[in-house]
Amino acid sequence: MPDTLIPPKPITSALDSRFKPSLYARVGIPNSFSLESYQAGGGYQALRRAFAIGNDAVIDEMKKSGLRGRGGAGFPTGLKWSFMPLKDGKQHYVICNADESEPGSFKDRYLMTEDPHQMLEGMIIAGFAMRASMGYIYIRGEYVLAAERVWAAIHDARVAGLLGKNILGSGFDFDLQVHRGAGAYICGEETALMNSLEGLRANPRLKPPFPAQAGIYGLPTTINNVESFCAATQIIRYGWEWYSSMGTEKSKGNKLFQISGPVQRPGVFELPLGATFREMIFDFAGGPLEPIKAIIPGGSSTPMMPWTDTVLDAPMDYESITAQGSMLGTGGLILIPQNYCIVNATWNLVRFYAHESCGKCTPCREGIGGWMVKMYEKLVRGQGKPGDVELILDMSDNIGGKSFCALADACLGPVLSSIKLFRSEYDYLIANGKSQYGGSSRWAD
Amino acid sequence: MKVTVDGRTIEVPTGTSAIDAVFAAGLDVPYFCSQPYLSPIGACRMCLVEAGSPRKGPDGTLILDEKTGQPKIFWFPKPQASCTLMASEGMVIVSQSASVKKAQAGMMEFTLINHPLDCPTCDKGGACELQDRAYEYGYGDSRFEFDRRHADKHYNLSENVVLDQERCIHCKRCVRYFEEVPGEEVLDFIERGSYTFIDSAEEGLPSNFSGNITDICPVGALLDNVSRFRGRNWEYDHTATVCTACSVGCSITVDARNGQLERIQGRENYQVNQTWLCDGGRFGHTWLRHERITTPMIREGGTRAGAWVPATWDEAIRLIRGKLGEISSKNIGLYSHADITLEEGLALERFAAQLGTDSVDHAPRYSSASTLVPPTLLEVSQADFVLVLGADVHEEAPVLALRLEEMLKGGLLPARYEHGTAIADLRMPERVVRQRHKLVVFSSKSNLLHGKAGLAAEISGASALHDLLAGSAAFADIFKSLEAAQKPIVILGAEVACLGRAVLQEAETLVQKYNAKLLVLPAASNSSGLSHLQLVPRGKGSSLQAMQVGAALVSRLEQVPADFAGFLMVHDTHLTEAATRADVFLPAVSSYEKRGTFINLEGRALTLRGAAIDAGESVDLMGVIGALGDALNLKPEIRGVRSAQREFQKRLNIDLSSLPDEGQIINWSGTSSAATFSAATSSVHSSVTTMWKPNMLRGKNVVPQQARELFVGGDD
Ligand SMILES: Cc1cc2nc3c(=O)[nH]c(=O)nc-3n(C[C@H](O)[C@H](O)[C@H](O)COP(=O)(O)O)c2cc1C
Ligand code: SF4
Ligand code: FES
Repeated sequence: MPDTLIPPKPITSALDSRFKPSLYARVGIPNSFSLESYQAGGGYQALRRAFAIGNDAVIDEMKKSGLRGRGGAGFPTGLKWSFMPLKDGKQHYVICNADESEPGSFKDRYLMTEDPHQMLEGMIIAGFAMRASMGYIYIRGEYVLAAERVWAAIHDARVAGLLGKNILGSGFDFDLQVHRGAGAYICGEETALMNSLEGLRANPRLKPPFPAQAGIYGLPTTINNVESFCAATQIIRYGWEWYSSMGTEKSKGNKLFQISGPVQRPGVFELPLGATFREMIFDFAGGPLEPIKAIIPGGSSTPMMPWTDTVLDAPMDYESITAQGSMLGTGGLILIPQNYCIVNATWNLVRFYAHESCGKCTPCREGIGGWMVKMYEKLVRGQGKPGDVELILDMSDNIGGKSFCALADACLGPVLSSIKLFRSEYDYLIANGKSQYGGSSRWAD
Repeated sequence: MKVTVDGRTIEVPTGTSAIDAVFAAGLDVPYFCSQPYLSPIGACRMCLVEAGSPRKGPDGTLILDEKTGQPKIFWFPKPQASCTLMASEGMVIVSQSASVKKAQAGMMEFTLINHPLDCPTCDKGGACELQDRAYEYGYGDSRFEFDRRHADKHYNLSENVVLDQERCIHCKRCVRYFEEVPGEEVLDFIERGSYTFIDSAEEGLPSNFSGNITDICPVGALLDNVSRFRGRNWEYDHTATVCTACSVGCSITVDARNGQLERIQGRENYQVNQTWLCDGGRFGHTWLRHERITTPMIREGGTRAGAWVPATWDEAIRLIRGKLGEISSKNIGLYSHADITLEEGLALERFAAQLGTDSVDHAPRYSSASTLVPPTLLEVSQADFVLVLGADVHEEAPVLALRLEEMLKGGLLPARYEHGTAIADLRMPERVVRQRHKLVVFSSKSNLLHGKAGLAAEISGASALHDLLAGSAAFADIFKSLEAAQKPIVILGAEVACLGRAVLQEAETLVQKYNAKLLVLPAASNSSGLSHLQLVPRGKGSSLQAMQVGAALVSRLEQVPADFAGFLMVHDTHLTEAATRADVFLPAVSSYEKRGTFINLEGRALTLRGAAIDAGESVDLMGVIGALGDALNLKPEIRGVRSAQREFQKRLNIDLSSLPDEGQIINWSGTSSAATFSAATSSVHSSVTTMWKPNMLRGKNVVPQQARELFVGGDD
């Protein structure tokens, strides 16, 4: 885009007339996932531009764009790419983390089923920038359609000379492989993913060495989320200036937000970072269907936030949400209705983490998987005793920050925030043997 | 590098883990998943400490604290697992604060919620890391009020190792051990989360080194099945000695209870076996307690047809005096197994000289020994190219195979601290790719090492050696590797070594050409020591195969030539085939009960210490020589370990009575050399294979067949 489009004031609302959807722009077009459709919309222009400006310039643009990893941790992507030992002459790898298993997150799924070439293009660009000749896409096992569409897209790209030897006559060789997971949340953790990809047990690995030093097969590897690669495509296509014209000072660009729970239109929406919760929930999702008491802002591991005006008017960017005591995470909003028992809701999440604990480290395996889940089950059955909440808090203290990877901490997000915000519901449940609100009985036995 | 641990500033090498820094400072941190010689993984989370380090500002100098003017310490926001945290210059570690103690106690509580706490019936009790740490660091009570996880409690992974899945605390030591040390993948975690358990997909732990997991399991989940329920840890008499089942000489602890050998465990010798044993050495000991004879025996009626009757030593000596009185002492043959101690060997040599007999021999042995200085085991693990010719290393010197595995991994060895070997050596990553091109194996029959080598073939070691010397074009790659290597080693096994001087000469030429070191695997455990004594037939003396003598003492050898008709004195622990033809049986102590010195394949002198095993009236070879001396009215020159060691002090200028625990490489130059060996006439390789020894491969306990037939029953 021409330089004249650089706006004086950053775009922080999708309602801003200057805001143009990019990541999700093609979703809804018939056959959006086909190569013809993608190319008709200007697809693979970014790749051509990357070849034209050269690999170092690509990394440079990525750095300047301010893109932060969209897999949850928010690590600056350009910086991550620059950690690769670019001149060591070794085989390098690029991995796409498409294991999206966090409750509340479902953006990667549609990016893959509706616009797989956008992701492939980002990966090829990443491979080119980081001197990798091979890339793997690790797709969550349950995402059957996504895996099929991605496979088909890889096939078409190979036939069209967009993958394989000497891509578009640039002299650059790159190929992609899809690996389907077998249904484990921990495989989304980048080093566990690499173990799984190598055929090993999916336990997270020690860091350091970081993937850029010793990743898959012990060789330099960079791993990014699906959306991060898609964003890379858009950044290289339109330039970093355009990208960084969106968002807030430290959270640049746009992002896919997802919303689930009792709202008019649950789904995926593309907004610039810095848009408010209110804009997302009311302007895009059509507002709640029933009274809400809490928002989980970024996937189930992020602490709940109360349904207040302060929260609703807070911008959705990394810093402001952190300042409010939660995290942007994957941008997967979950709304919890007023008349739903918070202990029951939390139990549902704790069950998830207990079930998904990989078993490597003690606090998570025994603390979450062996104990915390039983405490919640006991509370929900109405068998709680005074002191149980204190015990949960003390256990959380013994788990928090002491586990090997972030999974155990992720479980504590909903636990601690629900106790902090809704302690009275816990106390009522313990005192009366049942909640003042309903809950789901789906898991009660 | 300086670090400060709870106020104590200490100097540690760069790369030290925080846990080792804490131990180096003389303090303690509880840990379960870390284990010396294995990669640190940070799984148990017991070793939490608080840590912080100074930081450099943009100008490259340390950021100073405004108040104190000292470098400002930037603390990690969370407690850190000290086993996976690398200490850095100026780091401050707090291992004893209240918050660290709480973190550790909390972790202890988690570790225990699913542990069955069946200590009273657990063999590990009293030597259990979990028990100890729970006392030291636990709450003493649990707030867990739910059912514990239940799993398989008596699961025989193999006949030697039993698994209790409930006791497992998921430290992953066993899994890592198999992958990292012998390089075999036989155990892993199955399932996930709190349902995770240890299991094997394969029948019976197919490994020659499976017993080591019973040593390193911090709890009673993996136990030695051979010693199961045979004693509590505090009831055992522990004796630190050396295994003599092969020429490696691993350090072991022999555990006896009520005078009976019950268990053997690995003991650390950094230079030799690190802490590992082969299964043969560990489990192959129950033969000793079955059907052992511990009194002298003579024949009823005085003829060989007569049945054995127990006798006193006096009766036996009287009988011997009568028989030996009838023959010339020159006509007495003295024959022994090659696993006797150096002291026994010297006594035998001196006694033969006293008798004036030339008929002395030991077996198994090769007709010729190399005079080149062998590489040490550490050098093997640090070699950059190893050529194995005609050896089945897993059978001939099992733990050498572990050193070869280490070589394939890159030969990185842990640093040693005052508190011992690094507990968490951060230079050891999990899952190291093996550099298979560094190993080439040729032997007539395929063996376990073939699967590890970059190049392996079923061709005889001797013909390969011959072709290598001839510069055969087929071996071009090997020549290249040998030339490129800085520290190449050639290993010769029995298949080649038994062929005699000429072939050995070829091997020596080859290694000299490439500046390599030559390791000839000894025929038996103390062969390298005995090769320096004159224990081979001299002049017209009669070898073990011939045995053309009027009377023979045969110590711990299973067979004698079929046509031997003279007076036969057998010195052994069991009624072997040789014993069935003997006139008098003299009970022998086993290597577990001996004191003395043993020289391993590196030429390292190691000390044997006698375990508290009830061996009745059994004696060692020196004891038998003493008895023969009595019978012949001779005073043997060497009558005990002390007098032998005094003699060695003169010969070698070394005090064998106070060797360091790691042993000491002996310099034999200037003493009677192994070259005398070439005088020996025949190769006795055949006896390598026919000699009885515990089946190394699977640690089975093999009682000599003849002994089995003589006695009914036996419980294995
Ligand atoms: C337990 C756990 C699960 C995770 N699951 C995912 C996932 O499903 N998808 C994902 O992209 N990142 C996931 N992550 C984050 C990744 O480890 C990693 O940070 C991310 O893939 C990096 O990509 P990015 O820099 O593009 O965000 C997970 C992390 C943890 C600790
Ligand atoms: S916190 Fe520990 S047990 Fe849980 S998933 Fe991470 S490493 Fe595995
Ligand atoms: S985490 Fe197990 S010893 Fe450090």
